[in-house]
Amino acid sequence: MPAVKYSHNYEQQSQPQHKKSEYTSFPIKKDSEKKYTHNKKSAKQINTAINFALLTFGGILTLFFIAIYSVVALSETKLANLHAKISELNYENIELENKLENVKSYYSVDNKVAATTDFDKAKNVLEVNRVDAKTTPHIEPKTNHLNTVTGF
Amino acid sequence: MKLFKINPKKFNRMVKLVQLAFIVIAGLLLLQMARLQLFDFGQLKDKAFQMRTKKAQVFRGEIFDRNGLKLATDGTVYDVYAHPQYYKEEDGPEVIARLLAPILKTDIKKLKDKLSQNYSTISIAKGIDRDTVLQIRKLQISSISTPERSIRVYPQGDLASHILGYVNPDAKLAAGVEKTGSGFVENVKSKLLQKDGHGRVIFDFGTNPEEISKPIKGEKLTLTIDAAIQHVAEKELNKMIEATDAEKGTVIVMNPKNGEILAMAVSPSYNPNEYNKYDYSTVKNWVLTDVYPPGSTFKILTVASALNTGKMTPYDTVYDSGSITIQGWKIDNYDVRIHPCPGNIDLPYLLEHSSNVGSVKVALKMTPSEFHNQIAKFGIGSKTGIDLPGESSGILHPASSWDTITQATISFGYSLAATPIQMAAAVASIANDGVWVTPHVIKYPEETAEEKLTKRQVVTPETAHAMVKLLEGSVRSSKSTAGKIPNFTVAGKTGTARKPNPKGSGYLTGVVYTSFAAFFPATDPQILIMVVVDSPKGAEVWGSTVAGPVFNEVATFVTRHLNMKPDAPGLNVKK
Repeated sequence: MPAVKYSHNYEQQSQPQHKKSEYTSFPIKKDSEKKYTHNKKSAKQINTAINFALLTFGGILTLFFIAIYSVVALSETKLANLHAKISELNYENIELENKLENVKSYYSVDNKVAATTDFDKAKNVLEVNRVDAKTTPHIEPKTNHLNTVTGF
Repeated sequence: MKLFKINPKKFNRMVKLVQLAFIVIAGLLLLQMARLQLFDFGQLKDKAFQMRTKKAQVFRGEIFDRNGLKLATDGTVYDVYAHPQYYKEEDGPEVIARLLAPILKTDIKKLKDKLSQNYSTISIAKGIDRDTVLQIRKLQISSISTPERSIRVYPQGDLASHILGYVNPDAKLAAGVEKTGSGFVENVKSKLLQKDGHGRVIFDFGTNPEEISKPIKGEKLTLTIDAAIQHVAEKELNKMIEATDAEKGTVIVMNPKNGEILAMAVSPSYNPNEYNKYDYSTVKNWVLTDVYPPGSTFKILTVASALNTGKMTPYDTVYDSGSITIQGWKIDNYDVRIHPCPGNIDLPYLLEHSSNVGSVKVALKMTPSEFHNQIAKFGIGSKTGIDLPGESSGILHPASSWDTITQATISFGYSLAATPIQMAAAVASIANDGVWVTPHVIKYPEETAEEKLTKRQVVTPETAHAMVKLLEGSVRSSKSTAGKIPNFTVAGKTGTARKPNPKGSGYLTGVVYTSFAAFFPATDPQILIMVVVDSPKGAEVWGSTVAGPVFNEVATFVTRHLNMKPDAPGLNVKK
């Protein structure tokens, strides 16, 4: 089968056969053509821009989250350390409180009192002769100069 | 070069099979995930929570006396363990032993032998204090761990040991309010802390850093005990026990109006901080577990029963012949040699002179069932329901098994047995307008007190008032000093009962229980004190000479300590 030969000049055929006067009377056609070619170009740019924006946004977000995570992790470590220290202090406090309770307990106080002789009755009473009031030398009381402070 | 030939159709089938296998496995995995996430969710969550909270140290709640004095609390001790799998060349058993021995005050060689044992974990020391553990931790030996654990601490030492009891969480053993009040002290309201494998706190959005830093404790438990009264009661009891070389004794101080026990001194005592060093007979609260023949203090219940059943009036008399023989058994008055035949006696005389014959006559006016029912109403033969463990019911045989001699001897406190707390609660009902109230040591909030405590009218208020008058008169007229405290009228009764032979029938010769049950002010009873001293030795061992002085000392202190308003100013005051 012989190959079909197209003798048409498509370029010519497809090109609208405008007259010069027509063409000038419809300048919008030219504009739309321009616009069309312009749009084709900017879509790529938009794609690139969007991709770039997303990448930047993603990057910023990643950095932001890394920063937040670091802050949180740091705070948590700080909190954990503080918690450990507070717990230590609590244990120490409980121990000291218990020791204090024990020291001031009835039995401890009783034992301490029993150990001292302050409350013991005297085994022997030392008798001394009564001093006659007439022969008792009169001692002038010392005068104390007190610097008093208001409120005391 | 082709290594093997494969039929494309066969290959496709195999691929499909593999695909199918993958789909099945994926499906199974999905099903398992669904099961774990949807059906076992709660259980697994709880398990995870338990695992994470296991490491958190939880303290038992503190126990306080009625005035806020701390009686029991939790402390922290540390255990030291070695983990041989983490031994290093530079930190081997020998080096560790050399470092730890001076701190733990132990022999280097012994410690080295211990550390060289072939176990995954070796316990080196238990229950060491904080200062010691800090020294060990400073050494930073990776194969040594020093976990902490809670330990119960009783800062007041021996004080109220039988009430407080003890606790051993490892063996799940407890006594005293540590057992009965575990619902309070083990009830942890705060959020449990979750920790990771390294013991670090797991923070979430709900974690309040301030809240988690507070120690996790159970609820506080407040007792009705007044530590000051408890201390004086213990001191006075111990003094008397020492002076009379007695076996044991008790002083119970209670508020008869509401059953609150202000003190329960029990001797011999023990230190609950080291309860395991004492034998069982010392650690047990014999006031609740052991019974004794109440002796003449029981005459209070005999006379009250006769008055309440209408078989006697406060003005009736009975004939006291000094001694009486019933079914071949001779019953004497204790003072039969001084008063061989007192004749017609009234109730004040009966109580003042503690007439056995008189009380027998009074008791025999009632039928056995009348007498039995009345005694049972007083709580003899049944547990009081006190909030302490190990209580005994006492011994009260059914009325059907009574013969005349049983009824006669019961009238003066033999042929039955009661615990001191049963007797205290029974006499308290006389002081409380005839209303028996459950004795208790835990201070319950008003809203729960009603359901926890029993109140029952055991005798009419008229009978109770008549008994108070009779008992007050008997104390006032008595030659004994028992119950004679300055500025207050006291109503009470002494008792001296022979001690039953623990190894057989009959009674021990010359061994007695001395007791005194009394309350004051007689015009408006606010305090009841029951004193029982077991087996005091000496020439004059009576309720009035052994238990009486203890009562006087404790009662005098109580009037001062509670700043009670005297109802008889000038009474029994030395001028």
